[in-house]
Amino acid sequence: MKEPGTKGTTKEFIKSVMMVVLFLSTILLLYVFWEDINPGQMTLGELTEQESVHPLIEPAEVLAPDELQLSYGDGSYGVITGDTRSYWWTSQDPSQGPTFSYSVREFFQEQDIFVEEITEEQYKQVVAMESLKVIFDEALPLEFLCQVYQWECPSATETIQQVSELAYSFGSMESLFVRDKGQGKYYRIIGNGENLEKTPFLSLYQRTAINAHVAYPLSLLMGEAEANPVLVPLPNEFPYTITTYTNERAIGGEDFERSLAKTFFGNTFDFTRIIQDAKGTNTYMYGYGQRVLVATKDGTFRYQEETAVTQDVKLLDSLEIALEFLSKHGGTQGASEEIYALHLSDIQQQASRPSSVRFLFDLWEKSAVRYEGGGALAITVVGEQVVEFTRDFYIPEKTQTQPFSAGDYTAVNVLATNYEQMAAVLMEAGFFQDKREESLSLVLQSIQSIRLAETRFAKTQEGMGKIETCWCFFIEEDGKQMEFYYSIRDALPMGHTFR
Amino acid sequence: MDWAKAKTIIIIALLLTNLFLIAIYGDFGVKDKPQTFDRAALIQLLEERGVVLETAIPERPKDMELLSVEVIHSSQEDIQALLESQGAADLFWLPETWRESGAWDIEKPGRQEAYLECAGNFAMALGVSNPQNDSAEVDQEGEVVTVTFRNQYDGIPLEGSRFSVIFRQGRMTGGEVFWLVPAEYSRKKVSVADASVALLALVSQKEAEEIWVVEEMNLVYWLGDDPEDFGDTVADTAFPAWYIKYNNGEKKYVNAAQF
Repeated sequence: MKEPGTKGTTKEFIKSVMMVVLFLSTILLLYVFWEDINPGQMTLGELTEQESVHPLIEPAEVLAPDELQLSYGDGSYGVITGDTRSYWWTSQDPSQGPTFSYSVREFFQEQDIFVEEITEEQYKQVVAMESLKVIFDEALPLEFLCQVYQWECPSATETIQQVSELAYSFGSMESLFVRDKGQGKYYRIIGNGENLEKTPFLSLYQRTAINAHVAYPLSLLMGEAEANPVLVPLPNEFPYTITTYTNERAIGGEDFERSLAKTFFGNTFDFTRIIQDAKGTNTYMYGYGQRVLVATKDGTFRYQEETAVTQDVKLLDSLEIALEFLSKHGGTQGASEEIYALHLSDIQQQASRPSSVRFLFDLWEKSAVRYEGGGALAITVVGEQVVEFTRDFYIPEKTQTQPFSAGDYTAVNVLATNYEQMAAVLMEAGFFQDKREESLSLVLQSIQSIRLAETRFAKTQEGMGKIETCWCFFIEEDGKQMEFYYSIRDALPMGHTFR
Repeated sequence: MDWAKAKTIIIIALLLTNLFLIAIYGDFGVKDKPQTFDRAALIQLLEERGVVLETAIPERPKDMELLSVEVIHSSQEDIQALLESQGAADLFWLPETWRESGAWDIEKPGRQEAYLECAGNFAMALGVSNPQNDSAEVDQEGEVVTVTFRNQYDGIPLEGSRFSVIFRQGRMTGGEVFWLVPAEYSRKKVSVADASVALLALVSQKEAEEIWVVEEMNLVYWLGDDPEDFGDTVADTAFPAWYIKYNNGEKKYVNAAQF
């Protein structure tokens, strides 16, 4: 015999279940009709799918000098060519000591700053004293640096266009020195000298000196006074790393590719033409090619869109637009979840209206990882619109690191062994066309830097290859630039690329 | 508050809402739209602009999916290699008795079925998976018989998709393969442009003094390129398009997808 009220309770329970089921089905029907989608193509994952959000990268985070040089004032030098970033800028108050950009900001807080142009000789003399110098391979406008790092640059600095080198010398403690390599000009920015005994450059100098590799000018090491004064690092021991890499598409597969593609096409992804070819290239095309994404088998993603009506913007705005675009399209998180830092390695500005700027980025691990050919990320911004975006991130597989001594294969020995090969490659590439000097002389004159660098060597068609510590020689002649890579283990050529 | 009564009312309300939604959108997202033009006025306008219709104007189409297709195209080298391979005669030719006696005419009993079987064997050998006999055309001109398969999805032809083989005196001598296999359809449907829009687009493509006589017009799935332009494409997305045949077989395609 049933207890009184049991029937009513069961009925109410059934009604409750019905109510829930009907409520859910109403929501589902509304979603299907609202989105106008085929119920057969709907998945549960789609209902829970959320647009991935990547943190926005600030311009200050992607800039770092390519080299930091110290002069000890006695003809000996120190260089840092790897982790220059920790000496240049940090996002917080520097805990280990002031950074270069922080010190410059302090300098610009002085009153009555004025600027004078100086000669190359004067510049060389003052930085030959105890000094600290940062070098940018890609010169940056001073105004741009002032905006990025909130330096209160006075109007007097407007005469300085580009900064290739920025130096502080203890031989002239009230001044900063600037080299504009493109214009062939040198400047002294003079403060009023108050409180400069407490300059943060002093502790920065001391901190840098501890970690810098010993270096000497190439001219001294080659025994030719007329030769290039570029500094050659002579490290006793340094970490040698070799890493095998694959690519994002190989790791992330179709899921990664589709989710990245969806960020470019948004709501129109369902109406995007997708073409696959036998080589493994997938092309996503919207409309008559107004927006196109090409994903190649080697893991490179290239996106292009038609230029719309747009307006001129400043360089910093262009960079911010590029970085915002990146944060909306994959960010710096690789397919294997690791998050990379970026290093702005090249800025190609076209003298056009609207403004057109192509930013090239390397990935930054403990230092910038240079690419043999191209870069990890290239973003072209026309006016306020990103019209081209290329992403070619590597995914490290196996890494081996060991302390290494250059031994017989110092940079000078590498140069002595390979200068003929270097000259032959350069001549074939159109360098030294009307020069009649000997190969050694031509090569020596055109070397701009010699560094130990992590280099990502060219990949196979499947998008695999190696990243290795090597000697990197940067050559420049009449605006043409080329990088050569040599093994630190046997001094053999490993590759070269136009920059 | 009487909670039991409230539940009953909510259930009825939800039930009615669901029924209303299903009734309105009955065909899951396919919304019938009224014709947006006056047929007689359109025909007159077209004639004034030099486009004469010899075919009926198709009805307003329903929304359609985009169609992902697998592309199978074989080179002439591959086709010839297969035709010359060992055992080809057994699979791809009519029986020897018919060939030797000259009895390869398609009008003879059982011949059409035999040609279709040979063509089907050939398709299978090339990896063409789904040619349907009911879509096949078997034509004869003298001693040459051509078997052609075409393909469609949901009653809409896949334009360009064609698998054809040629027989001479009952022996398969060649063929052409550009075959589209429907693989997946889009999550959302696109609105399809009215036939009137396509006909007006046709007007804008002709010279003012030309007269174009439209002989056929129908909706197709179209890849947008000629088969010879496909290179090594293995998959693509077909969009709805209006196929218009005019002036003794001239062809035009007008993209019908409206985003």
